[in-house]
Amino acid sequence: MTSGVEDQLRAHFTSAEHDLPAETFTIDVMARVHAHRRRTRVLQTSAALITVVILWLLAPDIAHGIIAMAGFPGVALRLAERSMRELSESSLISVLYLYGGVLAGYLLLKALQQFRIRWA
Amino acid sequence: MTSPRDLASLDEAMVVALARIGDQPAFEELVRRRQSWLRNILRRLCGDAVLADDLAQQAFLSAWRGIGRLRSSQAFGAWLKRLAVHVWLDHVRRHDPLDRLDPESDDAIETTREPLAPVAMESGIDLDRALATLAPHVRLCIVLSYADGMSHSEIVDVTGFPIGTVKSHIRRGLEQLRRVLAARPGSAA
Repeated sequence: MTSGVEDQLRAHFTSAEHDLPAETFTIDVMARVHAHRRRTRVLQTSAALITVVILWLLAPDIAHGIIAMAGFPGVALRLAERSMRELSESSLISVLYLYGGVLAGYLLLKALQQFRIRWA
Repeated sequence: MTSPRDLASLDEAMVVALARIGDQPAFEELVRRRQSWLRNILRRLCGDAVLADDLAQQAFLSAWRGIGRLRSSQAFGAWLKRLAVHVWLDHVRRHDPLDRLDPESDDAIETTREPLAPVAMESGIDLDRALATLAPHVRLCIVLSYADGMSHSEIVDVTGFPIGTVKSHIRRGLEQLRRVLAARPGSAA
């Protein structure tokens, strides 16, 4: 009996196979593709503009950060000299982490502050 | 950019290769060639021509977005079918909470709609309506197997269901179809 149902299914699906007209459907699909491409371009352009604006707003802070980083080797050397006398190697690494963490936190806070000002 | 006349004479692998590098007329040619095939599959799954066409458009849009990542031009047909099946399964999950079942569960075999009353089958064999009584995952396996002639392992590739689940869905789906068809007035059963 099940094979009878199988035969019916095969015959039904074969007879129900239609050659559907392509033109209207293809036009509709390509309209969706065009809309998708337009949206993608708008999003990409917006993202690029936002990135440029954020970098422009953060430029002074980035410059300060670079200057601070430029002065970092001197600080590190002094810390290293101290470490010879007072600090263990592990505590020197902790100080370096602290210095880097404070700088990263400062940059992050400035970025968030600018976001709040611009996008709130 | 290739002219539509040139594209029509190319074999599909070449057209797919062009579409993969972003050639829009090539993709349009693929839509033209594959639309009838894909719409027919989705019509059998949905039982609704308008919905099937909408899902087919979504599948083609997904294809446009992902064709650059397609590894082999030869695999385009199977890949497109997989996209269509997943678009349909997503639609089922979104619109029919009763179908939010694990496809591996035996519960998935249960009908999601009321079985047809015997009087509704009086006008003759109505397999489309009988198919509509099957749960979506079961209907999917039946359609892929009997309408598209896919083997069990091909169905596993397309749907992502385990092989045991596919076999079980087909076997129990056939049994259910047999019961529904046998319930018709005047049937021998």
